[in-house]
Amino acid sequence: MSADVEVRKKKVQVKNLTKKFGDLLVLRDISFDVYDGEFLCIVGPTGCGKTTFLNVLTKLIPTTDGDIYIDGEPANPLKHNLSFVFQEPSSMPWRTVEQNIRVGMEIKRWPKEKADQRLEQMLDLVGLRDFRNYYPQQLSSSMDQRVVIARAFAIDPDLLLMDEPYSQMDLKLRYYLEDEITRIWRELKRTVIFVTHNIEEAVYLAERILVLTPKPSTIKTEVKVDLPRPRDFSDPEFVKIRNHVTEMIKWW
Amino acid sequence: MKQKLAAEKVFKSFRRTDGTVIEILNDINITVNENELLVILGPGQCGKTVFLKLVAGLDTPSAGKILMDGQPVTGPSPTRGMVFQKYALMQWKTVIENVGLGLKLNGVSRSERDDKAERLIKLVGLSGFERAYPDQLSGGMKQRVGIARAYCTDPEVLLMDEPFGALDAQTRYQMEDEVLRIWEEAKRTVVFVTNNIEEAIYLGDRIVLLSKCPAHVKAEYEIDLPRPRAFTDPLFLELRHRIADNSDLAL
Amino acid sequence: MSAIAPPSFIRQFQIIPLVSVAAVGIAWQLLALSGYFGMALPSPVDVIRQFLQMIQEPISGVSLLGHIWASMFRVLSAFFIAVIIGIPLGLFMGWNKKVEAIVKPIFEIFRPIPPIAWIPLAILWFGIDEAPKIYICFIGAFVPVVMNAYTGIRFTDPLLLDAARMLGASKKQQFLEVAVPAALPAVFAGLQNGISLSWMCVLAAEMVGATKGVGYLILAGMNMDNPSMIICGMLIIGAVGAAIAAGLRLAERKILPWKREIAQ
Repeated sequence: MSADVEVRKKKVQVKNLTKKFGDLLVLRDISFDVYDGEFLCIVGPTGCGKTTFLNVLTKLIPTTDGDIYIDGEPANPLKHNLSFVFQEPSSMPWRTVEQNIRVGMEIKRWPKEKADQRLEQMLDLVGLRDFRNYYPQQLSSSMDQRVVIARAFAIDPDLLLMDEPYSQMDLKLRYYLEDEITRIWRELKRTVIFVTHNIEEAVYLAERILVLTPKPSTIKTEVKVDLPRPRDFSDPEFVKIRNHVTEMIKWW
Repeated sequence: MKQKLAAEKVFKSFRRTDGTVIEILNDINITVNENELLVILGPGQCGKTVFLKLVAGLDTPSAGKILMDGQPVTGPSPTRGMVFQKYALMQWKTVIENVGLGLKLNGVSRSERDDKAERLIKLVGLSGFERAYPDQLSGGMKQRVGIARAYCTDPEVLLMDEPFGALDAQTRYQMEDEVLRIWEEAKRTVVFVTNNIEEAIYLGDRIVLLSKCPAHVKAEYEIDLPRPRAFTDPLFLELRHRIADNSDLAL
Repeated sequence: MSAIAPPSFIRQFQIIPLVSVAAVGIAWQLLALSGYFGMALPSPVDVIRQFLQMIQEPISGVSLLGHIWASMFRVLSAFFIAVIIGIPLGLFMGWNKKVEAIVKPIFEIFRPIPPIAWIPLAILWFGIDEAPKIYICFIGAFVPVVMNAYTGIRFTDPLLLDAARMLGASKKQQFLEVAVPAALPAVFAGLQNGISLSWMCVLAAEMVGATKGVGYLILAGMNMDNPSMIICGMLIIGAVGAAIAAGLRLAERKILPWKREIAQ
């Protein structure tokens, strides 16, 4: 799997990203690349500016310096497909599951046949086919979150950003959802940046992990995760990588 | 070992507004030994919190009984202290006033309770924050206040309802160590509810695994590992596998 | 937060409001000068001149300050009574189901009746002196004060009550130590609503029959064919109302120090 990484083209390039709020320097000269179809995890100590980083990445707030390029051009939410999955489910309560998944495709004006086909595919991938006509309030929060994920993947995003989407769920459910996201990712071959506090989750999901330093944040190190999937948290190799990343974070 | 708490054939169901009855707890039988740290582990929404409230005396079982020292629990009492997932701190009181609240309600004088509260604030590592208000504190700090407050009435039993559920992973690890440290310094009988297998194995002397709703006891595990435990220790991981395989998935 | 926005940004948002108000003032002046509305629309300059005159000379035998105080007295007396009766009533209604069952239905019958509708009855009962006016202002303040206290207590976080119960609180202690303090922000919202409603009521009450007060000023302006006085009266009413609201907010900040604005 990792041999392909070198051959893959660069999908996202972040160059010298810097963000200041007044005098407060939050992000300091962050540069990295994300390859097409890669699953990248970003971990860091508490309060290291991960949320600011994501906000800047999606152009929700402007950078102080540096820029983000997608396919060689400056990232533009109007031109590029950027999908975002937040920590709390952000499904639209006035729309059913099916209608929620359709939203992005409606905005991008996909032809009906293509949208219908993608809808069915997504419903199957997240296992919510039986719930297509339910409203989000009628679902558990994990199902709600999966509607959001289906919606995010449906539009073939150039970049999918996920900000600790499973942090509120119990461990067994997390394993299940992590397997599910891996499955969706492999089938649709999208580029994913997954931010998490949970190192085990990062090692379970990522092809590569970026470790951030505390504020002002910059990239401390990069860890390649070359393990075959499905991964086993008790596998000695897994444990080794996990301990390594943990050390990197503790070691300020 | 002396038995401190016992739940005997406990059932609990609720009546919904439309009249239907929903069963939450189904024939729960659990015992807790004195000064033991018992963890109740279960998937989300399975009734763990409901059960803890019965032990606390905040609610009563639909059938069966809850006993403390052999006597039935009839209502809440300061002999059972509780720590809540959402902290439940009084926004309008300072840290020291929050911590000393239990004593104030029992008529203890201001100087005496401030004294005791200060000692507990020191125990939980919040010295210097006595006059702060809860909304000036981080989640981890708020929960420390919650723990100090629960300890202040000198309870025999400490009930903790997913106390670290709202915290991020790293703070959670720190707080788990804190709880162990505080418990070693001031030993009590602890019933700790969580949905996190790692946390359960890290903390517990014993784990009671509940099924999904309606909940019954699926299994009990004795954790024989010496503390401090290492998350990546092979025995720890093997235990995690065993428990994870036995856990119900609550989608 | 101001250190973060560049200076030109801030200046923009300080200057624009001033420019906007000045523009309205200028437009008004021009409209008045044009004579389109004739005598009915005095210019801003006329209004200012009238205001200065009102400060110096008494109107109908009472100084300007005297008129303002007359209205304030009515509102404050009414408000005081409304608060003394209303807050405890609202709190108990919200806390005790029996009290709620007894009082709420009666309340719900009277609530939709606008305070102004009480004026004729109040005059019949109390005559045309101070009493009916204070009564109307009382009705105006009473409803929001009670309802806000009621909802404030009704929606006490059950988690906090559970926490108090675990610590050994009796029902009475739960009420005094948890429910009431938790309801204070709502109570203050009720006070704000109550006093502003009361202030509106005093005008209506005065316009029906009074010899002094800010409402009376407006009436006097009308009777004397003096639109400038009318406008002065309106502006004074607005200013006093705003001052009262600000005063209450200050009191709230003192009494509820934990309720801070959430800073970025």
